[in-house]
This record gives sequence, C-alpha cells and structure tokens, in this order.
Amino acid sequence: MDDVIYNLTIGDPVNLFWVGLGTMLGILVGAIPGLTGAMLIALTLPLTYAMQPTEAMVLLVSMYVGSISGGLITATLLRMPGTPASVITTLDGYPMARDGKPGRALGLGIMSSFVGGLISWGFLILLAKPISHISTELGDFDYFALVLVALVLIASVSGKSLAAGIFSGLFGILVTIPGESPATGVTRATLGIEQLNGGFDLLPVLIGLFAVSQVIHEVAQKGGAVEQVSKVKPEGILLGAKDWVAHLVNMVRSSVIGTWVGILPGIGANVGSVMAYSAAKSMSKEPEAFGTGSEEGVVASEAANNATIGGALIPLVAMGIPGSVIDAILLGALILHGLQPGVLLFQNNPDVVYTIIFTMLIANIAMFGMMVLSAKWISRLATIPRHYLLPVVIVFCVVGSYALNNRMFDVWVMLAFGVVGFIMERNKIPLAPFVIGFVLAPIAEEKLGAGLQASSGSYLELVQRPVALTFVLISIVLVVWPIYKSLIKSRSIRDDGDGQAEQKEKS
Amino acid sequence: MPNDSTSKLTTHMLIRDGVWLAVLIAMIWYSMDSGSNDSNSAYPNRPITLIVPFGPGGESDTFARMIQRTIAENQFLDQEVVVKNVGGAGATIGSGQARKADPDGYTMLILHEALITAQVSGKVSYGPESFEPIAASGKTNMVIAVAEDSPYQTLQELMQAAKETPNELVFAANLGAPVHYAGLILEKELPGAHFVYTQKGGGASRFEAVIGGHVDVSAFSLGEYVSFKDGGLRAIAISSEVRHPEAMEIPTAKEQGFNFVHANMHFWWFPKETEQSKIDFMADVIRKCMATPQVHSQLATRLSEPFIETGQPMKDVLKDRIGKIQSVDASSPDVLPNIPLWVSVATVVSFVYWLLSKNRAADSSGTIKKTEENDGMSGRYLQTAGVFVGVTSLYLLALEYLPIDFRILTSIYMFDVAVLCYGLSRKQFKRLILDSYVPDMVILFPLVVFFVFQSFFSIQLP
Repeated sequence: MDDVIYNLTIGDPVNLFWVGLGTMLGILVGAIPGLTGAMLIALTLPLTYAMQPTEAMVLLVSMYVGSISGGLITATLLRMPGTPASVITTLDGYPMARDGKPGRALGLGIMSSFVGGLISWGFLILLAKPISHISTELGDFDYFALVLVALVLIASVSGKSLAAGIFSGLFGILVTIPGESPATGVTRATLGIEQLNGGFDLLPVLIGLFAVSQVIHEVAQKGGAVEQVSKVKPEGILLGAKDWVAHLVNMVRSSVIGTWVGILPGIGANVGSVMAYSAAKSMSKEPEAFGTGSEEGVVASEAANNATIGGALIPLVAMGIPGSVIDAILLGALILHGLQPGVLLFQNNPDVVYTIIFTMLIANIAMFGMMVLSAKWISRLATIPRHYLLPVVIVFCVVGSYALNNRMFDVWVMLAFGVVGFIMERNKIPLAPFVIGFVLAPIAEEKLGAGLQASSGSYLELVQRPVALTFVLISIVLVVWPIYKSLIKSRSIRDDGDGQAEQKEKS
Repeated sequence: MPNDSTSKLTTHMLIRDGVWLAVLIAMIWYSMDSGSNDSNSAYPNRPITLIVPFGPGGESDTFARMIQRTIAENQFLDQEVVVKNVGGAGATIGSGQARKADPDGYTMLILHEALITAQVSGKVSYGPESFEPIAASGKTNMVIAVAEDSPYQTLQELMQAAKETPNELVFAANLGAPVHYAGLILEKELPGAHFVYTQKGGGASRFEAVIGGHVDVSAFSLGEYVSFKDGGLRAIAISSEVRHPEAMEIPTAKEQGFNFVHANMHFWWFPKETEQSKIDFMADVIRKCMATPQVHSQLATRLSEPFIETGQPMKDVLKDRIGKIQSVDASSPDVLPNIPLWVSVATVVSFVYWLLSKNRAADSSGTIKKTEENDGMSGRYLQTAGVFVGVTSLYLLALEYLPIDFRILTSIYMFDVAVLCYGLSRKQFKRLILDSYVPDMVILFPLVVFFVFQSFFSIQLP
C-alpha cells in the first residue's frame, strides 16, 4: 500500500504526469457540454494498450475525477451544464456569479468537490468490502421507494409557489414518457417520429432548459446595460476556516448521500446531486434562498456529485460490478489489460486495486490545485461582454448536443427546450422540480416495472420489505407536510390581506 | 476590445496577430497532413463511416474500434474508418440512420442480433431484409447461471421446475433484447416450461439480481460469467456445441438434452442495394482483420472466438437466427399501471391548478397594473427573443439540409448573434466591425471547434 502511494507520487514521475494530464483533460471535457467523461475515457482506452495496466488505470481514473469536477465551471459562470452531473449547480451557482460573486461560487464548488471526493474516498478505502454487498441486498421495490422519496421532495424544492413547482415536476415526468418504456422496452407516444424512439436525451434537454433559455433571455435584453458583472474581485476563491466550518455539516451529509447513490448501480452522479440538494434544502434554515444563489445549494450539489465517484468505485473494486457508465468502461479496461475483475481482483492484483484507490485521492488533490490556481482566470469569463460570449456559448450548445449521439434531432430538442425554459422562467415556474422529475421518473418506472413483473403484479412487497416500507412512509410524510404547511401559510397570508407584507418583514 | 491606453492596445494587437499566425500555421500543417486523397478513383477513395448504434465503451463499440485499429495498423484499407456512435432506443436510432444512408459503400453498420429482435418485438418495422449483410464475426457463447446457493444443480432440474410451476421462476432479462430471446428460445425446448421475465438491463444488473436472490436465473455471455463467477454465480449450462476449452467444468446444454446452441456475434451491414463488389471487398477486409494475431489475442481475453463467416454460409447463419427468434413469443403479461395516462392527467390537473392560483394571486395584488407599464419594453424583448430563435432555426436547417461547410455557416450565424447582442443601428454595426474582436472571433472560433471535435474526438460535425 505504501509502495503504491510512493509510486504514484514522488517515486514515479511518469505516474504523476498521467495524473496531471488525465485530470486536466477531464476538467476540460467536463466543462464543455456534449463532451462527457465517458466519451473521453472510451476514446482514450485504445491508446492505453501500450501502457502498463497500472499506468492506464492512473490515467483513466484521473480523467474520471476531472470530468465530474470540470462541469461546475461552465455551470456556475455560464449556466451551461458541462455534464448532467453539474446541472443542479447551475440553480444556485449561476445566480451567485451574476450577483458579482463568481469567485466565491467557484471557490465553494471547488472546495465541496474536493471534500466530497475525500469523504467518498474514505468510504472506499475503509468500507469497500463490507458495504459493497448493500447494493445486491436491495430489491426493485426498495429502489423504487428510495427514488420515490427523492421524487416527492419536488414539493420541497418548489420555491414560492407550490402549484408551479408541482406542475413543473409533473411536466418533467411527462417529458420522459415518449420513447422506450424503461420497464418493458416497448416504444410509446412517439407520434410516429422514428427519431423519438429513444425519447428525449438528458443532455440536450438540460442544455436547452438552462443554457439556451438563458442565451435567449440575454440576447433579447437590449441596450448594453445588462446584468454584466463589472468588477470581479478575484478574492473568495480560497475560502477561510469560517466557511469550512459553516458548511461542514452540509458537506458531510451531501457527501454521504452522494457516496450512497454512487454505490447503487444504474443511478448516476446527477441523481446524487439532485438528492443531496433536496435534502440540503429541506434541512436548511433558509430554504427560500435555494435557487436564488444559495451557498448551501452549490455545496450540496458539488459535494454529492464528486462523492459518487468513490461510491461507484466501491462495487467495482470489491465485486467487479460497475456502479456507473464510466466504471463499466474502466472494467473493460481491466479486461483489456488481462486482469480479471471480480471479487478476486483484490487478492490477485492488489497493486491495481490500490492504484485505482489512490489515484482517486491524488487526482482529487490535483483537481483541487488546478482549479484553485486557475479559478481566478476562469472567473473572468463572467465579465466578457455579451457579444463575445453569447455566440460562443450558443455554438457550444449546438455542437455539444449534436456530438452526443451524432444527430441533428438532439439539437432541435435542445432549441425547443430552450424556448420551453424561456417561457417557464417568464411565468416564474421553477426549473429545479422539472429536472428532478425528468431525471428520476425513468428510474422509478423501471424499478417499479421490474418489481411488478417479478411479483406478477402484486404491490404487496412495497409494504412487506422493511427498507421499502420505511421509504414509503418517509415519502408520505414528505407529501403531507408541505401541503399542510402551505395551507397554514396561505391562510395567514389571506389574513394579512397582502402577500407582500410578509416579504418586507424578511428583508 | 477597445481600450483607452495605447500600450494595452498594442499588447492586444500583438496577441491577436499571434493567435492568427498560430491558427494559420496549424491549418496549413493540418491540410498538408490530410490532403491528396481524392486522386484515386478506386473504392474506397474517402473515409468510411462505421455506425456503432451504442454509446462509447460498450461491447459493440470496443469490438468496432478494435477492427478499426487493426485496419489502420495493417493498412488493409487506403482510407480511414471513422467510428460514429449513434446510441439510443435499443440500437434502433443508429440502425435507422444506417438504413437511410446512401448505398455507396461509405456507410457501414455493426450490429448483433438486436437488429432482428427489435423488429420481432415490434420496436421498428425494418430488420435484416433492409440491409446487405457483409460478414458475421466474433462469436461469444452464452451461459445459463443461477446463484451459488440455488437449489437447481443442472439445467434439467431448472427446466423441470419451470414446467411444474410455470410462471413462477423469474428470469432476469433485457426485455426485447437478445438475452430475453435466449431465455425464450431455451424454454421452448421443454414444452410447458415458462419463466417470468423481468426488466434488468445489462450484465452487471442481472448478476446483482441473481446473487441478491431477487431473481432465479439469467443468461450471461461467457466473458461476463467468468468475471462474475467468484461473486456467487454458478453456471449450469453453456450454449456451445462442445465444452469450452477455457471453462471445461460447464456442461453444454446439448449434453443435458436441450438443443440450445446459441452464440452472440457481431454482424456487419451495408444499406440495401450496395454493390456486390463493395460488399465482397469489405468482407475480405474484415476477414483479414479477424486473422491477425492482435485480434486473436484481444478476443481471447474476453473468451470470444475469432469466428468469421461471409457470403452464403453467413446468410445461412443469419437465416437460422431469424427463424429461431421469430418462433418465440416475447409478449409478457401487462402488469404495469398505465403510467402515460396517469402522468398526462396529473400534469393537466396541476397546470389548471397553477393557472387558477396564479390568477388568484394576480387578483389580490396589483400586478396587472405593472404589466401594462412594461408592455412596450416587453414587446420589444419578446420580439428580439423571437428573432434569435428564428435565426437559430435557420442556422440549424442550413446545417441539416444545405451542403455548406459547418465552419462557414457557423461563422455567419455567430456574427448574426453578435450583431443581435450589440445592437442593430448602423453606428453600432460599424463599431462592431472595425473596433472589436468579433470578426476575428467568428472566423477563428468555428475553425477551432471544428478541429477539436473532428480531429481529436473524431466526431463528424454536420
């Protein structure tokens, strides 16, 4: 084990070089929408044939860490989610940057990415063996109930209007209906459009909803006097001890949620940040600040999405089960290099296992260093005048949506959802519930479907399995509570006679 | 960017010139590198696109890229093979794109039995008859496996149980995909035996479902099985004719009395009506690849065989597979609630509720007055937004249907967007042209994007 650390750092400059290169490329690819970490790693894989297996894993794992982290840059500064994992970061990171705090928003994101990575790394090295079995213990109904909890949290991220939030969430679910049914594989509601057989892809919809709608808004805003962030103070990137303490609880909680979501296969980093964000909001002292530039929101999202890396590596290292798409490619890399992944990997090739584990740690440190050093320059992106920035952003959106599946259809989807997002924002319908519904509904449907197929249509297991029952009860409480609260609130508002009175009190 | 201080301006100018110079040198170097192609008239005289109907990193993608690399390293073709990943909808997006491509021998598809199963399960209307098969290559056997502590020791016992209590044993499948059909074909071997199929997706998820005790049995490729077996998986049958040399302990289904002989292989396809000479040419190239030691050793690590079949024998293999798959019924009892209906109804109800609550809020506060004030502003705002969406639509239409280069169209479009942002008056227009970096940007940026995506990630832009 010590040998591995030694080899990865000072002992072998070649490995250190691979860590640096991999992390940097990962960050770049993560920041550009349409280029995903999975794409980069899959394309790099053939180039590693000539390398030692451990060197190859060093390079690939570094890319993995970098690609999940890089998305926060464009998400924060341009509202352009570079990867689906960072879409939740746009909700609060972008408002912060717009309010003249791009440095601090980036700093918070970088810090929590780092901590999220570290905490999940702790789980990975200490608990990989004992907790890797968790994922196999859970049945379909358990998964369904777990996702159900996150789905009903829509109500809690609704912002001011519960009605608008619920509509937004249901609309997000509705958008997942066309295409292949996740439970049966049958295509439905495609209106005869063959291109729609695969449904609406995640990234074009999210890029449209967030980035394109923003571009439309900014182009339309005439007269130069825009909400331009004039003088950015580069300060605030390196946060003080006070900030670390203030966000500690949130960071730890979000990292644990992220790690846990990472362990579960088939649920990616984006779900991790969605769940951590919802949890942070429901436990926050200022839930109403979420979506308007809440520091807690940025911290929760970024800590959780980086924590999924360590989580997803747990079943890979301990049992040979890939916890995410990228892990599946890493698994392929092991096989290509003649290593047999599985429960015996730990015994037969401890060097490779420890290389993977420690690369994650060192790549995390490298990511932290690179991002902190460059954040000062990157944050100036927010000050570039619109007539330079917007053409570049929109072309990236177009090319990124196209590159994902090599088809124009996705670009049209992106533009259409840009208009949808624009209309939603004008009518003050929050986008966060839409994203949650859109991301989680297919998983819920797939798991419910698989459960019902196996039980021949009986829902009984939903209350017979203790895990499922617990989650079902939690979701019932979560549904009832905000409705009850909003009833009380609307009564009190009516007593006041004017909703604005309450607002003034707060400010 | 106009600047007051002259010294700063010259620095900016220097940087500007430097960037231009660097890009020009890079372009010249790049065009020298890839030039002199179209002089030769023999097929192929330009790069061949290979459509992989899955995302990067999967089994098909790895196989396709292995062949691509082998072709390049051994110079089996004068031209490059460009892999194009078109994932989604059980490979039907990619196969649909290949079907509509020109039958000129420059678009190829690699797709296993999913081309057949997608048609039989009703996902799409077309199947193998809409393509020209080139070759069948790389054979992977399937393994029927149960959990280590499962009561079933042999295939015989399992099938007998499936017959005695039909629709009780749960089979983890990827519904409508080849694994599902493997189960269906197997149960047909013993009349009266029926499994219940449940949606599990990829090999790793099926493995977890088996060892977690959530399902009774599933099918895996031999490679998958070997990597999972130490995790608590036990094979009870393999689908090969004779026992596999790397896994002698697994009895074949055949020796246990079930004629379940089945192997996954990758089929190569051209669009319908591609010339026979091109098909033969490409079949020969793939055959050469499969004979190289690189391919042999790489397939061996995945326990696949370097099998290759072309011409009539391949068509027989294909016909046999189609017959077997068509002979089974993949429909499963519908146990799911009507989710599309429920979601649609709920969305409409919540929309109406939102409208009502919005109106109520508007009535109680004085927002109506405010909107009237903003009407003039808001009208122009929406107009510009509309113009922008319109310009973008035109740009996308041009990209999709006009044979003009991506770089030129993008330059024009970026300039339009910049003008929209900057303002439409003549004075502003003049300033934009003469006194800003916009002209530089709109010319350089598309070049850079094109270079990064096309050359580095080998993504063909429209």
